[in-house]
Amino acid sequence: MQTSPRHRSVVPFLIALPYLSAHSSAQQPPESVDNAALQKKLELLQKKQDADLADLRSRIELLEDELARVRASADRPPPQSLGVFNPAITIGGNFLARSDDRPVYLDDDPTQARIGNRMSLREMELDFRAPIDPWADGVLILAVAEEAPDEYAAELEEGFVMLKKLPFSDSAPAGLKLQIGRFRPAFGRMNTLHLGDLPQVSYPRALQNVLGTEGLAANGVSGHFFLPKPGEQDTLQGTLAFLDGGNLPVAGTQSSSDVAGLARVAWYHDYEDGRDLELGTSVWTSGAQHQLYGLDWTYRWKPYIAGEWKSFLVGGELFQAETDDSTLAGSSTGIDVWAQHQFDQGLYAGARFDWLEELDQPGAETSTLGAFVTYYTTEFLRFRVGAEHTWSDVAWLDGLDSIFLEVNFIYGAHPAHPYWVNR
Amino acid sequence: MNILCFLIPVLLGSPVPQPKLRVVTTLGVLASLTREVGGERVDAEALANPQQDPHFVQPRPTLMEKARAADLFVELGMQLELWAQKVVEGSGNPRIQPGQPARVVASTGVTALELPRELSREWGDVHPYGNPHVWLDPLNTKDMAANIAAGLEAVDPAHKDEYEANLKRFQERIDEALFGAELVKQVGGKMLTRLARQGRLTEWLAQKQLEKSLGGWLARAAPLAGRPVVTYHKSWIYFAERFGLKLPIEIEEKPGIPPSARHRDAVVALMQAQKVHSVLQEVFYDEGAANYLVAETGAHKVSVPIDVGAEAGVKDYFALVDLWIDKLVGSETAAAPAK
Repeated sequence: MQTSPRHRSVVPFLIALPYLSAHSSAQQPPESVDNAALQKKLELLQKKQDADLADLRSRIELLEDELARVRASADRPPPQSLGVFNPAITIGGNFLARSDDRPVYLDDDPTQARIGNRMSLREMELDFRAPIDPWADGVLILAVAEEAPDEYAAELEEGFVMLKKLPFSDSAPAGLKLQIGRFRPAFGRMNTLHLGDLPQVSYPRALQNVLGTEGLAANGVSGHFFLPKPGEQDTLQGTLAFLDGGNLPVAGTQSSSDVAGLARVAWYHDYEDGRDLELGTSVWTSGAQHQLYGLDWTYRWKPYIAGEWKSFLVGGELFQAETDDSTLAGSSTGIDVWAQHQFDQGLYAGARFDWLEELDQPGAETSTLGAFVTYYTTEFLRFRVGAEHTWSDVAWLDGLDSIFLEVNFIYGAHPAHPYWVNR
Repeated sequence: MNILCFLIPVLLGSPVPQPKLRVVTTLGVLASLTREVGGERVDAEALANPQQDPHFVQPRPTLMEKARAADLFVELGMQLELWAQKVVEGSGNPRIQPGQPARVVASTGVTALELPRELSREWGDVHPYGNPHVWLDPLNTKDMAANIAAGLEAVDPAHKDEYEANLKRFQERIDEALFGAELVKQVGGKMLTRLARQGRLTEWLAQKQLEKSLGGWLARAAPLAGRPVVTYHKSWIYFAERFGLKLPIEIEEKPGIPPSARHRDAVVALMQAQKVHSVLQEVFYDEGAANYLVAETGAHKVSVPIDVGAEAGVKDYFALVDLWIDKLVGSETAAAPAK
């Protein structure tokens, strides 16, 4: 049997023990020395006990901290589940009831269905969003919209991938983001907004005149980037896009195989006290025959203190279309100006004025003045009443009076607040 | 100019100044904690104005531009700043996207209160991960600072020891500010922290006959213990937990839902029954409802910021807590409600 190292170290001690014992008893120390030794021994014991206690206390502390962490994590919803990679889903619905003093037609076209004096669930929108991988996010927005009275059709409003950094360089020069797919291009301010996010019940007539009744959504590639900023409180953002041409009023007879280009520069300025200003200029071009130029501006006052109770917005857009297309006016200008004041946490009132030269009816002008009152119960439910009067060289439109009741509702994942709105 | 700043020290033979880490935070309080931990090595800037409601910040392009240059992005989390992700998305800064080392969620590991048992919009604007106003308890800021330190160390590992030392110093300062330097010296900050978190501090101090050694914010806030206070929003639960206040009712009917006339009258009745002295609300809320309650009950209105930098003297987190305690104790020790 082998002796362990520990046993080996004890053996000499055992052999020496009788000798040490005899030596110790032969030299008995005086009583005072004995007391001092005892005192020393006690102190040593006390120190050891203190050290042991400190050690135990630190162990208890560690265990209690660990327990607190376990309890905290147990209190939280499980971080992983089978559905965790599913997209966040938001559903929005938009209902409109309107009353008019004469027949009103779909797309302002008397050859189409009548849409006046009726109630309509205009659309239900399904919004899906999720990161795809470290480089990109995915967005899909499907709408089931009323195309004609009681006729609904599903359509793809937007479906795109947003690249946040370039795969080959793993970075984003100038903060570049690439949007690829179908989306609402950044022509002006209102075109990027969906129906439910508008500050009025409809897109401005000036916008509808050139981009369509529901604005422009197109397939293509769009790059968004920052430009050198002129000041500390300023930001300059640029957009360059290549889109399918056609499929919008200003494109006239062009087909979607004609590539269109879009460029936009927007300047933002933050003032110190909750005011900000945005000025933008946009250009859309498709071949040498169809050009659209735009200017847009938004001024907002939303004080930091009680900013959820009072605010003021004023904005507008200018559109200038230049075409060389026999079906369209050679030149068409449109402008809309709107303002909105917030009176209380959920109560807003505003007005909008539109003036335009009809693109498809050369020489005809139309103006509309509207007012509206909006009430939010929460950010998820909105009621809006409005009234409009229209003056026009188009006979059936001239003198049209309409009143509206709009209800907008959102459920599902918490939608992040869009940049421009108050809620 | 930048080249000159670099060249002049080189020519003079002095050490080249190292560029500071650019830290962008959502809230002023997070910028304050970052400065405590990062010291001279960081340049921290908050996106939200400290006077505004942190739930509702517009993700403006100017904020996106600031986030674009960030070496580290710090948010509180718990779905308080839903706007933060919009800012990050718009920034085009790959370093601060979710899951990256340069993206810090400061509330990680902090024990959440008011975790909803049922998630439904019927309950108003509820936060699914619990009440997010965690920084209103000074003890939680020790964990938040630790998370920020971990983020700084991840993006700047060369100065890890410095961040660790700053963190330790900050945590000790919080202990001394909360419990008083004398008690911390006698008992130790860790022990006191644990007792306070377990709700056993007062009992334990009495057992050990150490009540007189208690100092700091807890001693100053002693008049608040057990006092009922009405608040506008459910923001003060962590503060109440630490300083012993009772929060019997909020002015808001449900989170994010403005009070109806019937609810306001219910609040008045409760205030009169429980002899509530103080109506406490953040500066960014409209004062109409609070003014009504004050007029009906004779209680005092206490309007305070909850973020660093909102008032001239509130330059760091310590000054912010000082302000809360001073104002609330002042109200509670003033004359009783007249009605």
